[in-house]
Order: sequence, then C-alpha cells, then structure tokens
Amino acid sequence: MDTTQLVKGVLDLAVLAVVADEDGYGYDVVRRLRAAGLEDVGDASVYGTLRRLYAAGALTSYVVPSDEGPHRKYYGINSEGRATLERQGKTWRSFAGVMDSLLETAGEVA
Amino acid sequence: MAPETKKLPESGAPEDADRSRVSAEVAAYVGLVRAALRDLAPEDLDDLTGGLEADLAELAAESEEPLISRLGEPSAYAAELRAAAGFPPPDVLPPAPTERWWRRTYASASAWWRTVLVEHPWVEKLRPVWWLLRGVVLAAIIFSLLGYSANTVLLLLGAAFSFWIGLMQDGWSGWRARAIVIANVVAAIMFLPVMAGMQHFLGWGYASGPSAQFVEVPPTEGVFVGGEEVVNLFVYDGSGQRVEGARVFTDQGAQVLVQPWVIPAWEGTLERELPFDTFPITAGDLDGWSGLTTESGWTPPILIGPAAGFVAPDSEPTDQSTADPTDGATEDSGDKGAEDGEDGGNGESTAEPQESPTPTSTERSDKDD
Repeated sequence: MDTTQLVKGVLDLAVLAVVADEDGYGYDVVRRLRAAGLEDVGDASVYGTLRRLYAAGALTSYVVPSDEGPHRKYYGINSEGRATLERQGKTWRSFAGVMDSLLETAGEVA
Repeated sequence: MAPETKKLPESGAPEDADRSRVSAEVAAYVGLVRAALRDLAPEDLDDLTGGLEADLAELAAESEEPLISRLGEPSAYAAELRAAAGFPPPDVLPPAPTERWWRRTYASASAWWRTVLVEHPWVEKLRPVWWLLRGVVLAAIIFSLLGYSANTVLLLLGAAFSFWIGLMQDGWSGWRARAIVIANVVAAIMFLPVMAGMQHFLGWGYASGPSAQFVEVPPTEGVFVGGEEVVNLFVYDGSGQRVEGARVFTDQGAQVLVQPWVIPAWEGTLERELPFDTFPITAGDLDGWSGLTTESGWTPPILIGPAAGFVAPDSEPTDQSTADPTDGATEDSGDKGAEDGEDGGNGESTAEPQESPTPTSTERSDKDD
C-alpha cells in the first residue's frame, strides 16, 4: 500500500508530535519524521504543513540568523498546538484501534 | 512546551568552501519556487518560503546530487508546498511581467552552470580564456557594426578590455551584472560566426579551395608593347636598312633586354645562352631575321621605306663637294630632307660596307657556311 496517501492524512499530527518534542526548522522536522519511519514524507509537504499549522495558531515561529548562510526559521509548539495534538491524537488512536480490530477480524476469517 | 533555547545544527551546515555555489543553486531553485507561487499575497509567500533557502542549502550540502533531481521540478515542488499549506491551487497565474521568461531561463541556466562547476571544477580555470575570446568576438562585432574593418590591434584591445572587466565583474550587481550576462550570451552565440568570418577579414589562416586567387604580378623586366611581351626586336636604320647587332639603351642608361623565357624553344636545338641584348636575337644556325620570330609570324622585310626627314649622315662627306652651299642652310628643313631622302638611299649602298654591322654579317655568313 502506498503510504504517501496515508501520510497526507496524518501529516498535521505527525508534525505536531515532532515539534512538540523539540523546536525545529523545516528540514530538521523532515529528517526527524523520516528517522521515525515516515520515509515517504515530502519536503514541501512538511514545510507547507508547518506554515499552515502556524497560520492556524498551533505553532510559534522565530528566525535564527546565521553567520554562514541564510537564516533559519524555527517552529515551536504552543498551548493551542498541544491541545490540537491531544485532540487529534485521540482521534488517531481510536481510528487506528478501529482499523486494528477490523484487520484482526479479517485475519481470523482468512 | 519546548524550551526557548534552540539547538543550532552544526552537522548539517554547509562547508564554507561550498557555500557560495550551494547558495547560488539554492537561490535559483527558490527563485523558481517563488515565481510559481507569485499569485499568493506577499506576506503569505514570505511565510511559506521564508527559511526555504536555509533548508534547501542544508539539503544541498548533504550530497552532490543536484537539487532538481532530488526535489523535482520547482513548479511541482511549489504545488506541493501550496497544497500542504492549505492554499487553493491557482486558477490562472497572474500574467507574468514580460521579462520573467529570461529571468527563469537565467535561473535555470545558472543552476545548470553551478552543477557543471561542481562536477568539473577545472572548468572554472578556463574563465580567463573565455574573457579573452569574449573580448575578441565583441570587438569584431562592434567594429564591424561601426563600419571599421577589424584589425588585429583592435581585437587585441577588445580582448584586453574584456579581461580587465572579467577581473572585476564578480562583485557586480544590477545593470552591470545584467550587461555582463548579455555580453556573454551575445559572445557565445556569435562566437562561431565571427570566428568563421575572421578568416575573411583578417586573412587568418590560409583560405583553401575556390577562395584562393591568383594575382597577376606586373613584370618588371623585359620589353612590352601594347601589353604583350616582346620576343625579338628588329631594328632598321633611318634609311630603312636592317641593322645588325643593335643594342638599345633607355634614357636611364639601362640596356634593353628581352627575357629569355619568352623565346620559344625549337625542339631543343636552341641553347638558352643567347645574346638577349643584341637584336635581332640570333641563335645557333638560325638567322635572327628569319628564325627567331614570334608565332604570330611577322617576317621582317629586307628593306623598309626611309624614315620621314631622314638624311643619311654618311653621305655628307662624299657629297660635300657637290653639295650646294644652300644645302647646309636648309639642313634643318624637313621638306628639303625628304627630297634628299632618295639621294641618301643611293649613298647608303656605298656606305654599307663601311658600317659596323659588316663584321657581324660576315661572321654570320661564316656560320652559315
């Protein structure tokens, strides 16, 4: 199964979870998602998601100047973001539970 | 909540040496992404693409693989960014300003060039050579447009000027940087045509084939009458008699010679060592008066009519006693001289044995024998 489509549906949740762990800039978040196992995640999708979550008020943003290159834009989670993470996390767990039981039933049949 | 202190990544930071070329490639890529998102509000665009340079620079520093092959086309990247950020896809992109096409072309070309430089660093060393060639080509174009015929000095001046510009151009921006780009593009496009034309107007290299021309060099020696080179000269004196062994001098004291190579050779019997200064030219058994004639075939007559106003000088001593005193007084009169012409002719027959050609004629008769 193509995980690209699945990742799209849960990307907000995944990004929130990574940033909740520690502040990060765009490519840093991409790397941490991939390291966690979401290898099909697209760079631009993560950047876009970060920006959308920020626009929705779930993330804070600040710029860190760099002596040796362009500045980095860091994202951090705020209270609203944590609330969203908690709410969507519950939704995901219940959804995943439904899927698990569904597959277990199918497994017994097969 | 995460602590405000943030981790500054050390490991992923691009090395200083590579930073300039990386940022150029990154800047080109980000420029194209921004161009594809230009329908967004400026603040949205800044939100979405702010920090993109840093992210892509880090990505680019990870490997030598060009960004475009790792991230895909900038337009597709921009579409993904747009969709993930929750912006609606653009129905119609706002019409781009007219200069955008070359801006995009320039961005693509410079990104490609940076890739070339990364893969083949030695190419960088050829830049001074390009500066010189660029100067030659542009100087040739400019001077030919101005109507001057290009010459080597002007072209070398152009090359030197271009080289001097090349040493300074790296820090330039704005119109000067644009002028450099335009000059480079024009020089690159016109390089082959100009170099091909170079042969023509400078005579560089030897033109081969049909363009070679034979230029007739005007001869500096020999005798020419009516544009034709003279093979032989037949000399008659004033009375119309043949003159043997005549030697002719110009007013400058130069002896008149015909050139040996104009003498036709008859079946090898004719030796080339001939008295080319004594006319008519004689050769071996051949009588100069009948043998060494041109192919046009004019045969010199034995006797021609006396020259107008001719008075035989050698008749004077013999006719001195019979001459009228008036004769000397009217000597300079042309009419009188013409009347005396026949008398001179008669006198000449007596004078002939005394003339200097006599030994030659006997010499010739010796040869004939």
